[in-house]
Amino acid sequence: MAIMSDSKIHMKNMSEFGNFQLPVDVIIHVLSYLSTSDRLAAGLVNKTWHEASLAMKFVDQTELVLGRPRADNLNEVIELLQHSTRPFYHFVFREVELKRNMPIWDQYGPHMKSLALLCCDLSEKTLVEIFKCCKSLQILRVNACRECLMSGRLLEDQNDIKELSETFKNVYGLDLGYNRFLSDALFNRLVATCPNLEYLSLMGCQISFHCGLYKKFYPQVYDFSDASKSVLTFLNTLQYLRQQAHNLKHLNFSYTLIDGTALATLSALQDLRLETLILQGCYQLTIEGIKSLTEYQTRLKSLDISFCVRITDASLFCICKNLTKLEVLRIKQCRAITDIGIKYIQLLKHLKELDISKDERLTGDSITHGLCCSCNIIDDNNMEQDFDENISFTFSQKNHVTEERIRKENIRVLVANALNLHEESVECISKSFPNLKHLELSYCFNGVTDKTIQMIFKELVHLQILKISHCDEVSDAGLTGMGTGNHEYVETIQVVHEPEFTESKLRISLRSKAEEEIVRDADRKREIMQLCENVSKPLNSFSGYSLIRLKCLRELDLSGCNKITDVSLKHAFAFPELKILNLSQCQQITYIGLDYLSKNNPAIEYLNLNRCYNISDIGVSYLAQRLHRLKRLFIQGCSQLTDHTLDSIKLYCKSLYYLDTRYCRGMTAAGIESLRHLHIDWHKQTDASAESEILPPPAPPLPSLPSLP
Amino acid sequence: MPNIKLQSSDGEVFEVDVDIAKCSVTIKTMLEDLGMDEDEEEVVPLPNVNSAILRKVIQWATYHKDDPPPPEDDENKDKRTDDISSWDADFLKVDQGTLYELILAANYLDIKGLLEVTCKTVANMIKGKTPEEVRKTFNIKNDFSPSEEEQVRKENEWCEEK
Repeated sequence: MAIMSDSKIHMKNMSEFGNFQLPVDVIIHVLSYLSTSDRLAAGLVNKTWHEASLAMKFVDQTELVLGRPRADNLNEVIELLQHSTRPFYHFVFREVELKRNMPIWDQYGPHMKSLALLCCDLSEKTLVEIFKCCKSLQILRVNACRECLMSGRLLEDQNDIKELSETFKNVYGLDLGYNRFLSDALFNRLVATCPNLEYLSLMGCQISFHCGLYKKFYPQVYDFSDASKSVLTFLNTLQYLRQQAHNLKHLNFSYTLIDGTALATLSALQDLRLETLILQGCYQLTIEGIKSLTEYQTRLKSLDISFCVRITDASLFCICKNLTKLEVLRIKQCRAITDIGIKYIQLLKHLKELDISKDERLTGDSITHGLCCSCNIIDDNNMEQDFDENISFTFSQKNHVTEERIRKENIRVLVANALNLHEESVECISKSFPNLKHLELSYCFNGVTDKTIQMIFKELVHLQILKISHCDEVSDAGLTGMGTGNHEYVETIQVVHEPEFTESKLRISLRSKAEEEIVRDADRKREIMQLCENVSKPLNSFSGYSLIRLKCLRELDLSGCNKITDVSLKHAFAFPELKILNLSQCQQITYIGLDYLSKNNPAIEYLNLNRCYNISDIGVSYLAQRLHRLKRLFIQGCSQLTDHTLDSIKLYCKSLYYLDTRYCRGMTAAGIESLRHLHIDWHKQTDASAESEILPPPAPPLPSLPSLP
Repeated sequence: MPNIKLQSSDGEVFEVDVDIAKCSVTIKTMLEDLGMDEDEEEVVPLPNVNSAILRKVIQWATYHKDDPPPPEDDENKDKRTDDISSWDADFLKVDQGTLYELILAANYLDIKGLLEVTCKTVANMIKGKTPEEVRKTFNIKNDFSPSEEEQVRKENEWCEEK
């Protein structure tokens, strides 16, 4: 009885003070349902929550990125880390100069699991010394580092290699991408330090695949121990692959000149059982290589042959027929592929991710009669004999239906940008793949309309990423669902836009076409606004499906959807997890929309408002005050913005580290320079005529980090 | 169906169908370990759960008695929080204190489904909030010193999602 009354008192105390403290393991459980950003915020609540947020599994999901695009800050962060007790396992250094005497190596080196050096300046001696600190390393990336490889003297000392091969015994991933000074000799020394590799990337390295060249550098007979110090040859690489065949599972030869013959040789290596092969932008790749690949490497789960221009339907047929375990297939911009080739993709029953962007010969039929179609491919024998363009597809049998349903439910990611899709194909996508999490239909401007976007909102409620950039048919009606559910109603709306014989219309219009367009936009906005505002009243016109249904949305790209106005931002935008939002060139947006946007979407970290000419200082001040997680802001060409915008950014945006204010003519150089802690891209505007100047294309992305399988 | 008796911390006894009680792994293990016979008139004491909360827990377990067992944890799987059923959502429209006590009870009694749905509810209340807002929502006291808090905040700024 005593125990009971004790616990009773305890309970009472807790409720009196209202200070319930959950046990750490329960908090960890709660945190496991949150995104990294939410988790980091929760870690600041108090010490117990902080402890929970440092659970190994969470720390393992975050990385520390030092260097660009942040301002000159390496010393600052090193200072910060010196006082830190938090563990960090993953480090990325980008475009910075590294020294051995940075305390980071001794403090974090022993526990570092992954280390990426991208375009970093460091000597070969420093590199080796840094390596020696990293005793728990699992993944190593050295990309586009010139200085340490240029002399060719890296790891000259055999003792270093010996020592490192012990230090790096847990390294299973090695990425040497974009190192133009990598030679056979350097390659051999580097791989010798990592005896247990499963993943190797030579993306963008200048590998020679030409026999004539082999002869020049290895005139007698090829000798592994006397590898060339001046060229990187496939001959030498292949020798290594042969030795390591039983271990290697994942290879990346993107942006090399790997050709059909080389791929065929590689594929046929004894004991090689690849699971991932990434061959983006291999222009020399032909069906010869693909045939051999599909014959020998039947365990492949992930294949990327995007930008391989010589890939045809016949290659795709081999892939889909033989590589039945494929879960990821990327064939972006394989221009020779047609609707017929796409049909074979339905043979891949385990497919989870598919990218068919920019395959410019594809039509909407590739979706409706290809991907989404429940056809059964018969005439198997015929197919095996040779590739026949007229293989017959028949409609499904009964037991085939379940299988088809499972296949479609497996698909999580569909990237189909810049295809000439029709409305029917977008509808078909919405209905066929109920578990899609990631859908991209940018530049499919014929297919993505108010009508079809409604289908997407209706069916695909699990979407986390949606990109419909430049689908400029989409308007507020589509995003809010107002007036679109009922098609008759849509028509009546459209009727309103017909010229009315009011007094003003009877006069001869002196407006330019552009002006009329503006007036039409305004009319449209007003009507949808009325519908939205009246929604609380009963018996309103049937409303459709709003963007708001996509509760899990994390990334949304509506750039260039110029019909979207404040109405959508007010009524269709409320996402607790939205992190990345692109509204560039949505020129009708004003401060009113930004007011609602910032109130209802607190998790935004990346916001692109380039060329939203109608936003004003007050609009940006809403963003600055409320979007407390904002890290990157793009307001290029927003000519109404002045130094007041910079003031509110300076005052409120504590997390911001990147700002793009190019072509913001209202801002002064002094104002911009006052934001010293930020990395800002801007131009001094001197020429008044520059208004008509075409904006330069966005800067090319920094070397990307393809995630490891 | 045989019933068993559960006694809350404040002494109230609840008679519950054994199958329903067994959705709590703690009770299930207890019954097995003690070798309790289902016919016996023994009372299982639950000193960590008061009667108000136990009543709620039993209500939840009764409604969910025919649910399939929850799938095993998969760390790689994306964890959803938007799949709370409307019954559960209504059931969890309670004050902060009750929600916390339900979590503690679900944790103690080891009822996976209830723990999941309550933790999801808490997670949903955290999304998008600043640390200060989270403290306010859950009435949590900040025990960081200003310099400690500043250090953690600055460290956070450097963390990126992998």
